[in-house]
Amino acid sequence: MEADLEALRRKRAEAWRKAVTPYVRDMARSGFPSVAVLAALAALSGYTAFLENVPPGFPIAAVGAALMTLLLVRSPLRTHLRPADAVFLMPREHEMERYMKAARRSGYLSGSALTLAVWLLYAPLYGQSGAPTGAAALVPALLVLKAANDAGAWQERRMARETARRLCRLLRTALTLAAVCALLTKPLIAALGFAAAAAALQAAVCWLPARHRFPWQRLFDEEARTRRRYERFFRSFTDLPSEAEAPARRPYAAWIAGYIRHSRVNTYLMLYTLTLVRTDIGGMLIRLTAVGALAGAVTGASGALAGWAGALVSWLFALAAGVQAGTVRHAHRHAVWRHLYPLPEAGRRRAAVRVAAAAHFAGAVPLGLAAGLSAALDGRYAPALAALAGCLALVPATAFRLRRKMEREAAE
Amino acid sequence: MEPLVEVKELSGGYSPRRPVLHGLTFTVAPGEIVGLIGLNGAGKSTTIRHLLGLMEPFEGTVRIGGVTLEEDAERYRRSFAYVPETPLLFDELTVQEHLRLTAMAYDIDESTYVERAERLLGEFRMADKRSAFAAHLSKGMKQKVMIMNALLAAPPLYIIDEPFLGLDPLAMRSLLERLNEEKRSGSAILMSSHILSTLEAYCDRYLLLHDGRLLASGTLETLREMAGMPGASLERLFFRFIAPERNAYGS
Repeated sequence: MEADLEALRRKRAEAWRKAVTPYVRDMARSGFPSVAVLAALAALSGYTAFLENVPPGFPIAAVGAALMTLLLVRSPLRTHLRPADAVFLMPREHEMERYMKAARRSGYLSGSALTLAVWLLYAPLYGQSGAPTGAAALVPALLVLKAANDAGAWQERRMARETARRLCRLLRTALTLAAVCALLTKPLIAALGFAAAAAALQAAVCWLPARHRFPWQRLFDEEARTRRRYERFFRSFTDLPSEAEAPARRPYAAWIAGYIRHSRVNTYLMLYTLTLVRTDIGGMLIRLTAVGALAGAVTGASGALAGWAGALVSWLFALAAGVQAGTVRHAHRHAVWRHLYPLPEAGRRRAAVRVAAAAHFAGAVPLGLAAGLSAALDGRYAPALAALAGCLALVPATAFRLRRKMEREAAE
Repeated sequence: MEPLVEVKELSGGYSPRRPVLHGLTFTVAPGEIVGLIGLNGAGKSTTIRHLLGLMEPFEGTVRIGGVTLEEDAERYRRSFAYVPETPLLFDELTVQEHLRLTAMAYDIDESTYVERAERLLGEFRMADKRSAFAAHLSKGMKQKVMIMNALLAAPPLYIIDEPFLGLDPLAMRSLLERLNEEKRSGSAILMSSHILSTLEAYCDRYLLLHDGRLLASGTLETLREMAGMPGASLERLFFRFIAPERNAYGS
């Protein structure tokens, strides 16, 4: 009986792989892998140059500890469980260990592989720190720490109270950081002793809070979140139906909808404004703008390419922001209300373009200003002006392209 | 009186080779509540989808407010509000925002919207949930939001599919009272449900569908005469019409 549960998980994992294969192909065709490889090569070349001339006093151990802790504490679990399992698998809860064993094994293997890959990259830097233990000797310790973290993460998933779960996770992060610091700076035996004591303390604390026998709801939520993350990633390259995602309130942006005039012609304008602000379309746009503004400001201040590198970065991010804002057009395409509201369809398309353009403008301004101001402060006025002007010019151009695209889609 | 809904010889469904509905003809007049009844798969939801204009008839016509969808889509759509069996809400909108969206779509001015929304939020005990996202509501609450949206629009016709699913008894009573009120003010209501005792208490006429055909229609008295069962309840009549051979409830 238990064997068929293991087979069920395998079958689900296989079905998932099959389902995403076409999207992976679309992603590969988009040129994204080439850009990613180029970026990785550029980063690697920068890192190699850095290794040849590490500044004295560079906090090698602190950087390594932060990096490794992030990777060790992170413990994703692909269970492929769905809410319907509350009906079909819950009666077999006592047999679920077999199902979960495969999920844990796969999570541990991929997590360890990533940790080791990063450790391999970090090892040359670690070698310059004059630490008492060699990089290779620490590999088994890191693998054991990873396993301990995965076990801790599972116990946290079982906790009935959210506060207890968060506190235990915080404690686990702090203890892992301390253990990794000890491994990177102290003699191996002493560091291992400390790590063991830390693990024992964590295990004892985890034992205290009330726990579910099997955390069904948490696993359903976690699996849904993972699927949404993949979906968001693939949606950048292909058209893909979305699973419902939890809305975010974002009152700092949602107030705008309250100022939309109460009128029939503004119905879709209100709907799309709230959709953009409260779904991940807006969330992604905000993150993109923040990262782009920071990248633009840093590049602009560096004076690279006589200040034009900052402008270039801001244009690239403004372009990406426009594409991201334009994805609002996909929202509510299949909503039945589109056919029932006594409203013309053309109004829906107009509203989507207006909302996308407004959001694009809201992202383009800080992007242009961040790159422009940093270049201007450096006395490079031409690239400063070009950064802002270029970002703003992209707004009507992208809106025009979006309108044409929507008209084409409607005609099809 | 001009009927608000006029369905003539309607044949429809998902494939012309296997139509679900076969030559349906019926009307719904202003100021009446009509119950659409039948077993699962009888064609109730397909009939409703044709009325909503979500499906193209293979034969026959559907007129609402005197026009077909092709003749005047806007007038056709403005003539009704729909409450689906499964709540269809925008997850990222709050309860209050749904009401505002409906008011805007149906061209209801702001002061009327505010007044109606407050009344509905009170009647359906949803005032403290006005700022809750639809995604965070229980199934019954979602259904209440659907009903409030329909009532806010105050159209000449309500098309309501299984409105009682998930509703608590107080909400059911509020809904039925409001539907009676709407009926008195001249609106027509076409309501599909399996709760025959409730339909019997509130409906003026019935349309009994079976295998996509209109098996019987009329007032309770008409159905009793057709079945030869004076004084019988709607439930007994239903079984007599649907499965006369089983005669599950006796004569």
